[in-house]
Amino acid sequence: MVKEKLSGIRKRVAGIGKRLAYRKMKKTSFLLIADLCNVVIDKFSDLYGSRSAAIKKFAEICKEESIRVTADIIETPVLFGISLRSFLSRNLTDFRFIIELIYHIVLGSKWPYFLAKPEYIPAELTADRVNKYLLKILHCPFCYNITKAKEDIDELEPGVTHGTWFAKLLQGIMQGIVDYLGMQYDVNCEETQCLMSGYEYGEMIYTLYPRKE
Amino acid sequence: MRFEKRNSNLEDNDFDQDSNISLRGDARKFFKMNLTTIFLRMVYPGVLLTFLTEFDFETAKKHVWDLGYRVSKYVFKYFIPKSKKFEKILEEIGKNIWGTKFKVAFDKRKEVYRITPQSCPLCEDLPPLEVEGLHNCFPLEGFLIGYFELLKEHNIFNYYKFFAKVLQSKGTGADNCIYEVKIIK
Repeated sequence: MVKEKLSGIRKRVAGIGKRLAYRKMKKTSFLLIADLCNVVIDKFSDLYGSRSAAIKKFAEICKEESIRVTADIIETPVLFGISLRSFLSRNLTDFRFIIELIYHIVLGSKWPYFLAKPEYIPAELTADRVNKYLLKILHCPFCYNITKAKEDIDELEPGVTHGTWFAKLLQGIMQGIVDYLGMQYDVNCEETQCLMSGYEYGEMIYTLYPRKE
Repeated sequence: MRFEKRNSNLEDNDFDQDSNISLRGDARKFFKMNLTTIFLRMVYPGVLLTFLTEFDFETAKKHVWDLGYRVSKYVFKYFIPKSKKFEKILEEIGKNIWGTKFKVAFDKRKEVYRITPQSCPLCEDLPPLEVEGLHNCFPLEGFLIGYFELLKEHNIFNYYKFFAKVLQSKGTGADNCIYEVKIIK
């Protein structure tokens, strides 16, 4: 049964579990996968005519796949028959903890170089009265070495950024969790700041729109 | 592992000279990070499926091969092996890039190298690919050819002709992935 709120003990167990789970899982070089993602976008640009079309196509794939994979992973026992399911809760303040847990399981203990701790902005504090989570990207493995960035940025359609595909992948993960928990939200994730546009850090915003009956 | 100064625009400059935008990370730090294959599951099978559904089989195969070929050009920017011997180069690529150990054996009769990775990031933990003639780790063929082309170009490993082929793959039900490499000196 999914918890309504995670207890301190459960969070501590998850803290140990995430390290053991990361150790046990098959791993490969982060840069190799980042390169693969960049190459897929280059390839799609050639095939679909523009970089914007390529990013949108890749984003669509990532979103669909991540919803499916997340649903799969939640139920799969990671260690000693315990699955991620045991560390999920329906409490929105716990989502910060869940996001961090996922960061660690996927990226290991070095994730703080890439991402900052997520921030929760309750609906009362947002202009549009919906719950939001702020994800900051401190250093980006997907664009750290891309040169001629300005031309690339100019080339993109409005509403499309270099990290759109990554935002949609994150959206799929969150939507997979929310759906699994039976919560009535439609998740959206947008990249609002891109390091390549000269910002100090990259920023993605998760928005949880209450689902209409 | 070695980072070549001439290839790294990260070491000497904080700014991308073409756009005057500050660089967005240090390759050496990212290089030390390992990613679990969960992430790969979210991006890679969907890309393969897109190629297979939107193009005919031979074209799709070419596109998948090309992914590996193009990745090799990116990888060469930050990773150049120390060794100049084929087996050692493969050992370094396996350990640092592929995230596994490569077992390399030389078949004297056929004069080819047989490479068996201890595990394969593109096959293990990924859904099996039920398509005859295409393997999950098929891009490795393109990767090896592209990477060794660059090693030749930079006078690190010389040869006359280089062939690489994925013989079998865990992703299509085999016990191990096996790749074959033929080098004509």
